[in-house]
Amino acid sequence: MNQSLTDTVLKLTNVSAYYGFTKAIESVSFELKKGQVVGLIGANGAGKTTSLKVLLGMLKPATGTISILGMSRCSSRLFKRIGFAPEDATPPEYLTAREYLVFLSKFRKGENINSVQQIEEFLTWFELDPDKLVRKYSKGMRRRLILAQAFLGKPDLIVLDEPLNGLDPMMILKLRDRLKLYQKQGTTILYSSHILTELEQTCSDVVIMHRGSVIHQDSVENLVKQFGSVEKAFSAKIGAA
Amino acid sequence: MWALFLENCRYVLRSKMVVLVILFSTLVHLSGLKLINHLTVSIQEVVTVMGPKEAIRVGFYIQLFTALSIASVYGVWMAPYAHRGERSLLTHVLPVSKVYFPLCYGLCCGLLLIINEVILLMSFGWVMGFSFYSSDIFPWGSLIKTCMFQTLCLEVLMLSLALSSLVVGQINTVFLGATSLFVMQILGTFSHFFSKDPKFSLFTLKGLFVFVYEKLPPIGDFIFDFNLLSKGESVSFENLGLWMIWWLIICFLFVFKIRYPSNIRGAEG
Repeated sequence: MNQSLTDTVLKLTNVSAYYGFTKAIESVSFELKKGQVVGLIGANGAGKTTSLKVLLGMLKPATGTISILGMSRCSSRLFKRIGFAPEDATPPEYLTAREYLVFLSKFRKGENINSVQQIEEFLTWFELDPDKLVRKYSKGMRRRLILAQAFLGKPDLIVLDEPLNGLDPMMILKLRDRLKLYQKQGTTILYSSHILTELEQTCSDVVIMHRGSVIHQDSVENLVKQFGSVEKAFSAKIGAA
Repeated sequence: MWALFLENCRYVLRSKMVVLVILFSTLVHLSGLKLINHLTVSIQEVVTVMGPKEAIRVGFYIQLFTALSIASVYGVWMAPYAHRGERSLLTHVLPVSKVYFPLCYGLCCGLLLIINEVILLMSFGWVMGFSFYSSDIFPWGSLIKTCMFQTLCLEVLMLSLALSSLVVGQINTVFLGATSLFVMQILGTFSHFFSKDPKFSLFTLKGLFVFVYEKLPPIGDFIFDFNLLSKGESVSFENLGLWMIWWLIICFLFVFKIRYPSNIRGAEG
């Protein structure tokens, strides 16, 4: 195994969480090592988004422990090292794309980034109109801006929730390349998606969730060897659960 | 904190809140003061001509009305903006301490209230002439004290409305807020009467009521305190302390609420 893959970046151990009195996830355990791109897959209501919310400290876990970049819980200092693209969020509509990224870069500023240069590069790369108000953006453009902000500042951990929703095919291909580039540079990526063919091409490992629990975690290579594709592996595991 | 504050100021500017505050406040203050200055009131053949002294007192109350409107709009709609719906997830992962949010909202709302107070001051000059500021009857002391006291109280109100908006929603907050103000005002009046009763004792139902009421934000006493300050008198330190304590409590609750934006469940999982 590559030396860079030995450091644990994220570890969930027996985590359960509730929405009110409804149990959303139960005894969820999985681990991400440095440089891994892990796909989180499951049907609607499987607990993918809830797991992401719990690990990012948006929902208090009822039981279990979370270790993220060596810390036991998310703090504002930790968020400097994490990029997150939620599924349906809209950035502040009174800002332009450039203003929004500049605003975020003030908080994420690290030694490894040159904010102005990186922001301009991101605006071009994600094909964003820099001076147009977010209010006037299409759904796809908003989505691209959400993704751009997640990559800003070269975070150690990037969490993407259904990143392909609303993206055109060209942007999907570009995003795939960017994820591979970040993976090579040692960034850890947790990627929740429905599109299993895409996950097969992008991820090194997958975590399969079903009815609030993790039912399987393995490398994409092993799953393809065993079942022929991630899609078939998913069907088999869900069928058996 | 500074970046967050500037961002909030940009929101206030781009949402046209500042323009609306200036227009609304100027219109209400100018028309109100013009109406009241030199107004002749005749009751049972007793004719009273309202002069600058009366206009100042009325000006204080006009200013209270506009300030209350500004704090309410800011609290119900503007402060919760970044913490509502899916946007709350983006706000949550901002690498900034959650404590700074209520402080920034407080500063922004404070700025809007200062604009409103400056407009009141300018309106005195426009209506009664700018030499009025240097006259003996212009109450600089009570004006400053009243504005400071009112700003503290309205900051508590603004943050309470913002918190309520996050918990029960904006429309519910408008009605809940209006009802609470009304009820607390009545309770405040009762409390005043009860505590002045010579047979008043803490070990009665009335006593228990006053004991509990005195621990709540002194909304019911606000208008009495405001009246005292506008007349140049002082208010009790107890009430001032209570307002400050409640500001801290509401700040803490607000931070706690935005700490776990978990009630927003996404379409997935």
